[in-house]
Amino acid sequence: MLNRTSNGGKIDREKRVNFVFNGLSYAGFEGDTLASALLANGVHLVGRSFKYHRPRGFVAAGAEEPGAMVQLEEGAQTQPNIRATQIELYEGLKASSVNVWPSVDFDISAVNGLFAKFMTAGFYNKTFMWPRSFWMKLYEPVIRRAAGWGRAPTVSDPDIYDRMQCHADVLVIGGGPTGLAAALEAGRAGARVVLVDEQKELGGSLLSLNREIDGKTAIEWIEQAKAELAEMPDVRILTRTMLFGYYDHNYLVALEQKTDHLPLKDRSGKVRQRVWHFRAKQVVLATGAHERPLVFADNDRPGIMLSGSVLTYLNRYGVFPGKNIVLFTNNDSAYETALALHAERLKIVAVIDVRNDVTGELPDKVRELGIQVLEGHAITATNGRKRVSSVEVRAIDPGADKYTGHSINFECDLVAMSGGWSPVIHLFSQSQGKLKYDDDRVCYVPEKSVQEQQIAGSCSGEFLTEDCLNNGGVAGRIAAKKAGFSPKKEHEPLTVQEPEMGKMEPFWVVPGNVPVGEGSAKHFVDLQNDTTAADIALAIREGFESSEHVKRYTLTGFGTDQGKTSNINALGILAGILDKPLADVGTTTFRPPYTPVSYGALAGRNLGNWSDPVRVTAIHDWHQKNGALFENVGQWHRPWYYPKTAEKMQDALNRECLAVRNSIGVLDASTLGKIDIKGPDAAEFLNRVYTNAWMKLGVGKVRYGLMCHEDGMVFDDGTTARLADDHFLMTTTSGNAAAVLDWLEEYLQTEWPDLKVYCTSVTEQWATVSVAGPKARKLLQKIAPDMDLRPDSFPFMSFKEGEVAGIDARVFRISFTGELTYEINVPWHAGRAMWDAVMEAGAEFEITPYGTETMHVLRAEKGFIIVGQETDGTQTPQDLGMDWIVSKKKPDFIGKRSFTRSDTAADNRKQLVGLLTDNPDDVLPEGAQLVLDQYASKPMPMVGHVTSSYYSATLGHSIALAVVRGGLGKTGDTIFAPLANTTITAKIVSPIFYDPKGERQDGEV
Amino acid sequence: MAKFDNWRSPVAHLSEGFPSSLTELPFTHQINLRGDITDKAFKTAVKKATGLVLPVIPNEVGMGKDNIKALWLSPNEWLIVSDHEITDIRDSLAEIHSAATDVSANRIILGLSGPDALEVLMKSCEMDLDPNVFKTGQVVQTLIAKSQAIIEKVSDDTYHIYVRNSFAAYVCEWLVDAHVEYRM
Repeated sequence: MLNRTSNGGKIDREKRVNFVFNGLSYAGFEGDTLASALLANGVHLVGRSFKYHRPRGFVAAGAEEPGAMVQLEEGAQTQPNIRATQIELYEGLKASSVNVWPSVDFDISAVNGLFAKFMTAGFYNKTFMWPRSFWMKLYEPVIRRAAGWGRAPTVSDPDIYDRMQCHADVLVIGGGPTGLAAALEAGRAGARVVLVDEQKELGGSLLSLNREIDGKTAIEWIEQAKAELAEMPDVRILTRTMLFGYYDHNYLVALEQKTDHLPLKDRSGKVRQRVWHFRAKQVVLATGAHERPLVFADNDRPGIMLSGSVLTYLNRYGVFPGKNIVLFTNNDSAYETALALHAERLKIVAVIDVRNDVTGELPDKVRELGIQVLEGHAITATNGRKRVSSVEVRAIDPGADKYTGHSINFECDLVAMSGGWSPVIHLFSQSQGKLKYDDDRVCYVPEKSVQEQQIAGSCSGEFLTEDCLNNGGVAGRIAAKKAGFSPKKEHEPLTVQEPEMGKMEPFWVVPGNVPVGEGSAKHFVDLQNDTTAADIALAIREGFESSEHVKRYTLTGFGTDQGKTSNINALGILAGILDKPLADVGTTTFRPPYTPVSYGALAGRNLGNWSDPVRVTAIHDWHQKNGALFENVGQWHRPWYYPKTAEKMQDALNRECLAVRNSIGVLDASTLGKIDIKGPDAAEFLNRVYTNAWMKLGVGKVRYGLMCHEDGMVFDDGTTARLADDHFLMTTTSGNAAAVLDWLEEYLQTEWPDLKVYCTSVTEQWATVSVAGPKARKLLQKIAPDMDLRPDSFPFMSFKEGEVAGIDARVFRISFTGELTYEINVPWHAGRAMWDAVMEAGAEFEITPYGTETMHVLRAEKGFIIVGQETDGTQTPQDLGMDWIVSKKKPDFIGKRSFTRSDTAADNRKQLVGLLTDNPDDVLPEGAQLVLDQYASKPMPMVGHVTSSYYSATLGHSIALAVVRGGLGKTGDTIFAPLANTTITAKIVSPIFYDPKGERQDGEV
Repeated sequence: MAKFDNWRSPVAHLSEGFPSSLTELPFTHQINLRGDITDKAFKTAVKKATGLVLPVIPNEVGMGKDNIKALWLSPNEWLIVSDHEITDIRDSLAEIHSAATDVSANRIILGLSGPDALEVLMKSCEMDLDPNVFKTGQVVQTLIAKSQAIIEKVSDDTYHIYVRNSFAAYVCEWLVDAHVEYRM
């Protein structure tokens, strides 16, 4: 490893870690990132840029890195566009460059750079507009191949992701000096504290800076803080956890990377990433600051890095990214880097400072070492193909848009630049906090919080370590106090040995020999999107002056880094060109996620069978074992039909239908909603929610009812039994059970609180085995010998209680098929036992289980509606031909008033009819539109649509239900269903196709 | 015939795969009770039949004689859970406006216990179940993953989870999966 210091850093030099980059083998140390290990091996060139395919290297050491994205691993485990600066090195790691072909060293698309003049901002919009049809076919596919980054995996993600919900009194974001101090103080006060940090270890900037805190080294202080936090039972520390979203009511979301740092072979079966959902009483934002680059000509060559990041590589990883170093700065912090590099006996070629009259502790120390400091100078050009090799430096006048002086050439292999520091205000902004521009600190700082949060340390613009620690401590105390805890002793401020920092000079772009934007040099602002200062100038010339417009026109701030290093520079340049104070330009909007999150992590365990709950009945396993296919009804999985071996769907339906009509069929009807309604006003209550009369229903009897919303439209239907004077059992449609209970409760609680009624859901208390067919009585008699089943004693629309197959049951004589039907209700857990008893007793009748599809055919033969199939929320009972169920005598019920509205009472509404096709074998498609004139010109006037359509084996021809304008008055008319290649002709008939007089409901006596 | 003869749990086929910290409790007698707690007659009748003083503080569990308990569900609704048949309650309440509905077969009850129980619930439920907040003798109606559930804290690290039958398999599969990392 060429570029390692001899000692120091938070790496374990005893532990070599082997890895492969672009097919070549390298070694690093445990504790390295992929970036630090590559730099240690002298690799600067990691990829090509987005648009111009220019060689690119590392700029930063953390989440703010704008380039340096790699394709990590291969096959199912591959991940595109992961920043090398955030990848912890592990044994066997494999990574490769993105956006290169055939290789990073020789990239064909680099020719784009030659056409750069034509590829400025807005290039795609302007160039590929014509002919319009070419966009989808030609332009977009080609552009997408040439631009863009890594490759998405092509096979499904094998890893496990999950989710954790966590509530905290104080959530501290950031484990640097500020966050540690805040967590310590909040924890000491007894608060439930969660401390999250994206890094694998706590410490933040303290890991990179040599500081002395209360006489201890920074590392010793971190260890002591960690030890104290570990002792606190209510403190949870989450490292490798990136807080990526900050939503309303202190709801925050973070991604914990649990195994990404492990060799692939050690990850199997473990949760790879976990999304934490926090709800916090108080949040402490201790997110620190990012260093800004300086914008100068060709500032994108590999080897041009942020000064603070160079210091991080040196102090934390023991890596020096270059040996002949030029520093370029507008503030004092680069001098600290110079001193540290010098201490490692690396050559500091020069410090280029745009400021004049630079004095202060750090610059003085640098000068004392004999290092050349050029004040009032800037880098005006750089050279080097795949790595910077020299820079040209000139004197610049403050405020000038051109330089005039002669150039000095410095050979170098590393440029460490600092354009100042920007607080990491992304999460603050996501939380809807308001920012203000601080002229003294030359950055945006939080101004006004709108959530319960404290902002401390560098995130608030306090960049000195001592301020961070003390700010953080105070913030932790305030947060704990606001969360209801009492910090005990007085806050004891810490003292830190650190250099003083002089004033920074705002400096947004280095002038060229012509005004920026006019020459050929590229002053990159956003390295990820290849946006230059010229692009911003162009955007403004073309009228896009708002920061939000500039962002969209130039792409500045988009992409996986969301402009962490580029946003403020872009705003500075924008303000400069518009000649406005930066404060008046305004920032763009910061949105989650702070860094990219994979879909797998967001999905968590809600995959496959768990993507939505599957609700099943007590008899489900029998259905499965007996070959049922299932249909989703709400979340229920209901048997659809039971095909026998080699049986086609229609054959199975025919067999099931005929069994019910001729002998016995059995249906699992457990999914019907059931609501127990009790109280002295129960009958009155039903009288108001149903359209028909309920007061006089006898105990032991059952009645069918339709429920409407206030608008008079049918909302649900079902049968309700009177168990006692003050006690009813209502059934609802399977999918509507919860909605109906809500509806009833809403009316009881808000409209009719005077009614003494209680409702209780008993849907899952009762399993229902529905036995239907002419022989049903014979079957039931076998297993309920003590029950009097004679029709006069147990008539249609009544129920009886008693033992069936030795189980206490309630048997309803109702029918959705038109045949004699007993619905046997038993406690849910006994449902399977009852089903087995029925199957056994039915064997001699060749009892046939049937599913929802057969049920649909049978009820359609009888013209019974299904709410949600014949209705879509726009049908009144009258539309459905069910005027008979609407009471004319009741003073009121829900929906009554709407029946006299002119529209609801109109006679040309869509009304339910039956259809018989001219060709009895034609089965109309459900949803088919209907017309009265098959030759009408298009668009044809449509008068309705088919709601249900089946082949009826019982009748030997197809049947359909439809809603047709004025259909009730059109019986006998011909109607047409124009389809793609044919038109089906049908006759409008009564919707009751079978047994219109109901002669079959008593079965075989 | 005894009430629970012929009864079969909806998760009987899954219980073999349960970790030791997850169990299904035997069937119990459950009654959903609704009534006006400000009505002295109602309160007295319940007390007489069950020995229970119905909790009025939200999300509390009231204990009566012989292990009978009442889980607060809403200002006028409780779930009464008992090892033995609660025979007297309907008779006692006959003349009082109320609803005592047998829901013994409406839900199964899962027992979740052990040092990892809290984390398993944190993976499954949005509620704050931290011991500082959710205490023994408290109950909450919430979701386990995407299924409704009632969670009752019965001791420091033991919870009872009441789940509707149709969701029971889904919830059990989810909870078993949530345990995997602790069994490795």
